[in-house]
Amino acid sequence: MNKQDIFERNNIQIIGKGAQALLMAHGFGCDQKMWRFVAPMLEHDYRLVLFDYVGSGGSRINAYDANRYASLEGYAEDIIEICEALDLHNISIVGHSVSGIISLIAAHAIPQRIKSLIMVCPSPYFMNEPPDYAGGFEKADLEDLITLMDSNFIGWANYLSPLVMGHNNPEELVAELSDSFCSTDPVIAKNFARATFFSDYRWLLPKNTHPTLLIQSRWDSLASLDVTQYMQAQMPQTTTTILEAEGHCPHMSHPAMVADAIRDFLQQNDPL
Amino acid sequence: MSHSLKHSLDLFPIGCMISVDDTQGNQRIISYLNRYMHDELGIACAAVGKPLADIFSKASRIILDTYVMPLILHEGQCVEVMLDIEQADGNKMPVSVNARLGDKREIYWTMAVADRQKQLHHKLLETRDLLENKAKLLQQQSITDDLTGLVNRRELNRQSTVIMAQSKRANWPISLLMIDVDYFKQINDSKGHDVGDEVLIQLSQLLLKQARASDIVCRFGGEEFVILMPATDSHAAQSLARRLHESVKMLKISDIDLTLSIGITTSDLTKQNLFSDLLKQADEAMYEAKGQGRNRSVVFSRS
Repeated sequence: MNKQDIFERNNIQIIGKGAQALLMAHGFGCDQKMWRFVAPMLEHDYRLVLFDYVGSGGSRINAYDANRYASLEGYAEDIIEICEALDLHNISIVGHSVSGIISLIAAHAIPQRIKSLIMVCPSPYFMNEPPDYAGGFEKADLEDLITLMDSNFIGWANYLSPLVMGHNNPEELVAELSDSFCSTDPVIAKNFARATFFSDYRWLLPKNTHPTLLIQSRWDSLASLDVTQYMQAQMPQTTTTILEAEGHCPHMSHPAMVADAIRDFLQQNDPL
Repeated sequence: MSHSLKHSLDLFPIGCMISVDDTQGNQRIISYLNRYMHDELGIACAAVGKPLADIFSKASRIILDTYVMPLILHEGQCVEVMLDIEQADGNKMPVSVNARLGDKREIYWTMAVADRQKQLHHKLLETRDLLENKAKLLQQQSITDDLTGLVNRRELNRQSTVIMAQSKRANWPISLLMIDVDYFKQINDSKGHDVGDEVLIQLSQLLLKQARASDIVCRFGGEEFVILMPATDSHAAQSLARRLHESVKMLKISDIDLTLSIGITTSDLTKQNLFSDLLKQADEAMYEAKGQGRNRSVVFSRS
């Protein structure tokens, strides 16, 4: 596939200026619109490559292949193909939630193109496996979740808000953030949910070879601090920034905090 | 709320609930529950004054956070959302939820037991999965040969179109092997059809094992097989044919010394190649191999 094909397939937008490029990978249930609060704070110093995974946002939906995107490797293929088509080098990937893990898979495949990884509220595995691992959910909870997505599929995917919001966030903010819902195809969204919630990539953590930053809200109902601590302990070259924030999407609810954390990390690795 | 209103709401056969912001505006707190909420949905009276999220199952809370609350705040209401209430004993009760936002940011909720609705929905999902699986199976059956599991002739023709086009663009040669089991009729007549079938099945496995993953191995007809090899020149095709003659000697089925006659052809990069021509050429070469005494390969020659 040539560069133009990939541009259209993944709805790639490049904004900002600077020597350092950041590939911004959105999480489950949304698209590149979720970066709209944090992007204005970064675009003066960095070149931002925004995209939608196939099946999300403005991507080319007919390129969706249920088999390819049944696992996170398929989504990692999107990142790899984007990096290759644009011939990106020395790139930092900013991945929200499941995209943190997707970026790790991609970095494992094309290590020479990647400089560092920044994961916002990631989790390598959502299930509890006592006594060693507390992913936050029982299998039955996650199966219930898939069933509820199915039961509500007529409305759910059309009005999906990326905000697993904190209850302490002002409601004006919540209302503003939910102003543009991420409309997704329900079947695609459900497959993405399956790939997200039922995969276990803990084995991949020790294989990390890139400087990595974990950005985590202190109060997050999807990815707890236990998970962050586990990742920090398992991954080489990793630092953690805990935000005094609530919710699973701090880049939307607290964009300045996230922008600062990204900037600090990038400058430490490579002063401007 | 006046006493008489409370009284009348208790008579309604549907759950009524009101939630309000707590004093700090940090949380949504349940401020009212009618009797149906206690009697039919099993919510304790003590839930009044507690966070709204507490009455829902863990999965429902995620739907509440990502879908229901944003929807209510944005649209002022939500209609017919399916959620699960989690009762004090851990039992889950499916409910159909409607909600409307009031002037003072209070939210009025109704919820009705949706057990039957949920069962119906499950039935629907089961049926959908069943149909999807059946469609997949039919699709699979339509492209494979029942006995051997190899792709059938129709699928070979379909895939050949793609491969021919790719090869033309990339200017790669394609090779084709037409393989026929020698004296298969005698095997069938003397040993019976079961043994004949066993020969075909084991030979198919052997062909799959010797061919590369990118090759297409097809049961073309009775005891005839075709291997279509993309990006393969005559030299490589002949070497596969040699390996097949060798390895088929190892097959031991009911004392039969199995041998093959193979016709080989390779596309001519200087000319337009049609798949049907390649088939014809390989077939001709295969009959030439038979004529020369069987158990051998013949390469089609254009002269």
